[in-house]
Amino acid sequence: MSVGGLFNTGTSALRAAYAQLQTTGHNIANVNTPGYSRQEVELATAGGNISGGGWIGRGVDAVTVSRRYDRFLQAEVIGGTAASASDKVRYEQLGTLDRMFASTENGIGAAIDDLTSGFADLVNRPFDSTARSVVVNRARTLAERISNSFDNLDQLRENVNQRLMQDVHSLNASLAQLGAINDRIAKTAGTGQPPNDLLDQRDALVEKINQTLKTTQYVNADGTVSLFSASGQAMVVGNTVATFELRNDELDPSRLQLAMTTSGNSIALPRGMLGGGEIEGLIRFRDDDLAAAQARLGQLAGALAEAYNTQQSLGRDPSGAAGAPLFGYGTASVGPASTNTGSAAFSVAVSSGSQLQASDYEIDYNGGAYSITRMSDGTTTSISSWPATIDGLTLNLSGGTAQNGDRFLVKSGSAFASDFRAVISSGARIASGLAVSTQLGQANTGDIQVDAFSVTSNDANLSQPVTITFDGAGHYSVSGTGTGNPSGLAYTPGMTISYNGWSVRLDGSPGANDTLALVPTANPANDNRNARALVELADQRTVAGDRFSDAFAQMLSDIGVRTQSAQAANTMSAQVLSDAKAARSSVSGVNLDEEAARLLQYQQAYQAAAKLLATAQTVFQTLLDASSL
Amino acid sequence: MRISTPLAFERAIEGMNDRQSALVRTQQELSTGKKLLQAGDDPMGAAEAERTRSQIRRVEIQQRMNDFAKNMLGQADATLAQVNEVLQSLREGFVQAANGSLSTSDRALLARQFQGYRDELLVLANRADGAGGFVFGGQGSTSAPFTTSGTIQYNATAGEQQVGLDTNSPTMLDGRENFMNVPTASGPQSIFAVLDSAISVLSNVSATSPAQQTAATTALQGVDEMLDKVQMTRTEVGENLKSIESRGQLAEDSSIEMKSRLSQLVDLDFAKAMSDFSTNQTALQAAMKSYTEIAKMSLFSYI
Repeated sequence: MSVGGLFNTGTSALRAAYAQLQTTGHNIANVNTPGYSRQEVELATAGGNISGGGWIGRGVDAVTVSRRYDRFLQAEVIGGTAASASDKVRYEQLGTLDRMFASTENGIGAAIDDLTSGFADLVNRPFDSTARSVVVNRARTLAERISNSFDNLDQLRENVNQRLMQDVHSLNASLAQLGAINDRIAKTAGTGQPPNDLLDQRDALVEKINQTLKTTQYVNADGTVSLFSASGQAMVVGNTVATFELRNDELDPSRLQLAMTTSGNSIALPRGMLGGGEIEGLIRFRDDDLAAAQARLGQLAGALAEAYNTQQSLGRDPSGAAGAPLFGYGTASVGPASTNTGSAAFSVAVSSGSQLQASDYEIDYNGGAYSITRMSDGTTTSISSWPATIDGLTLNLSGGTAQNGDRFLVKSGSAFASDFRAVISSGARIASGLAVSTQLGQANTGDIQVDAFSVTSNDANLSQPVTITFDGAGHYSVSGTGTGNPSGLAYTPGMTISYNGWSVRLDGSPGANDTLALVPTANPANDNRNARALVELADQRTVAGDRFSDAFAQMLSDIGVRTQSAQAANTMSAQVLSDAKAARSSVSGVNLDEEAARLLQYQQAYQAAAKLLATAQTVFQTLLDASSL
Repeated sequence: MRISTPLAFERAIEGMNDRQSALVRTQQELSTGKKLLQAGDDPMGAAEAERTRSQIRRVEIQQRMNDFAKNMLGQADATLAQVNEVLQSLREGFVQAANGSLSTSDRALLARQFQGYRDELLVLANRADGAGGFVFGGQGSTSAPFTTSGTIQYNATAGEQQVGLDTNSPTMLDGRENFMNVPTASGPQSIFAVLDSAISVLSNVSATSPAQQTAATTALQGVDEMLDKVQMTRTEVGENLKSIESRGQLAEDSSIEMKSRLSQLVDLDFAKAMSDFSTNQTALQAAMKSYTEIAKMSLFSYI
């Protein structure tokens, strides 16, 4: 019989209960520690000694302290974190973008209407210098609103880039930390026990990294974790850590792109390969949502400026000069990609404002041939000769030769709204009149009348006097420089006759020898016909088939639709993450009531173990007493 | 399912945050009176609201031009009425002058009256419209369209200056057609030329009576042609005024309709919003109260 056995059993019980109390204490202390998984002591019996009367147990062993942890639930949380971070930041940014265009009574659409109203007063009183000043002021207000909107969008882009830089900085720091933790975990392998708190730290870091950028992870047998980017590049293996940076995109140097340097190689990570995380959400917002808004604003700005400037140039101001341009806007440009090997250079100019699209373009040279892609919808057209015209832009190869694989960026939609300004110096330069007027013959006997008159181009012979003579029997002849003096042409009421850049629509039936003369306008200051055309611009399809107000309304609704869908995505991914966290928490989370109950339980066990030791001591004492003589 | 302590608190806090956001949103709607605050609230509605706002402005712009035309045509009508009166007086005068029983000195007296009427007619022809232009300014004139001495010429471009969006309303009448195009035996002549030639014959005391009578009759024919012309012009002006009136009515109606549609899209239903606010408020209070109750419950209080 061994008294030591009882002492050992008691001591083991005491030790086990004490370990349990310590662990419960650790759990209680860390109840609110993020990423903490509750720990439990795992007990096993210490086996037994064989004796004549059977196996006598030796007590209890605290085998290990283990985390309550489910790696599948943890994986769900990590995946959910990356998705939710991306959706959340995109929704927040879109909300800001949406609110920028909220007050429509003071918006661009309202400013266009105000300008039209200003022109309408000029229609009534074309010679009125006050009305002219009002038009100039309204043009300036409109230009300010467009320019402010552009600046706001640009500032938003700048803020996104700043945030990206911060995120990359924190990503690199977290990756370095994870490398260090991996190192420490690897070094504890010798102890044979899982380093629970280090493992929790490891998991918390992986979760934090996923908030910034999505990863896939693989836990090795020794407890270290290997992290790979969504596209498969190694981010952390052991204590070898890749670094991330932002650098200029090859095609568009004004755009920051994510790149990763690992074992000396630098790899660019395009947006499609990022998978999730705040960086992905920010880049998606910047290159997709924000870029679309900037392009639409640019399209409206360019089309608007071209429409008004062209109409001005077709008219005449009070001094008889062609109307000066109303608006100036950002110039389109073509630049080569930084990876190009050839020397080709291009020029680009706007040839038709009403065909401009809300897009930038990419020119590619492959297999000895050029092609151009509209970036907003991916449509590619091949180019067989220069100059080439697409979507209202005329592109020309200005010199050099391209090599296969060369790419060029045509900045158009994104450029037009920058530097948007009213360039008209005074109301005296507004072309309210037209260079040429119609005058029916004084002695006309029929009822021929002019229904509509317009100038379509500044033909060299625009102001040349022209006479149209009708024979009263369904024919007419034309005489005047630039017309070629045709005769015997058929007349039908309602037809349009055009020469020398003007166009007149006639109605009614002429009598024999009735005439219609085109004469230079004596005093353009008093003529309101171009002012009428300027008012009517708001009704014309000037923006790729839409009117100004339609194009602006579409821009608003496009932003609105994106915001609404981002909101839905954010709500859903936040819910998925929340549920995943709840599920994980139900396994790993500390419940204070439970720990309180366990405290009592282990305290009781400790007391019992202490009592056992006291009993063992009494037995020993009894033995001693019994053996004393 | 096992609920960990931090999760329970987090859920409660999330709940309160959600309730608070909803409350703030309702409050924002109430203070602005709008339910459509930005495009994300209702993208299709926002687009329609913007287009409707623009349409309402367009109707206003049309009306501006219509009102101006109405003003100008009103003046034109008044001027034509006065021209008519002068012509009537001339008519009576010429009828008298054509009477064979008058002496040359009588006719000379009438000739002086005719001079007066002729000058009045020129003044009316050069009438300003009060907006910087002239009633008979043709396709646009800021200086008197008829020369005032020597042979009367019409210096503005013949035709009518017009205003309007979707429609054309004249704001200046054609002086050439109304004053310079009187059909006579020797082709179209200006009324002033007609009157001047009659006046010179009638005031010539050495002219023969038959010659004077012929002059008076010729002039009378001219005056009658002019009276017809003025009547026609007045009728056209009247038609134009009528159609401006009816267009104005249509514009008014369509404007009201559009404003009502805009309100439907953008404005808040206050009754519903107040009730939502109250509901949200109650929900927030309930969340707060239940949080405090749950926070108190802990086994540690009983140990």
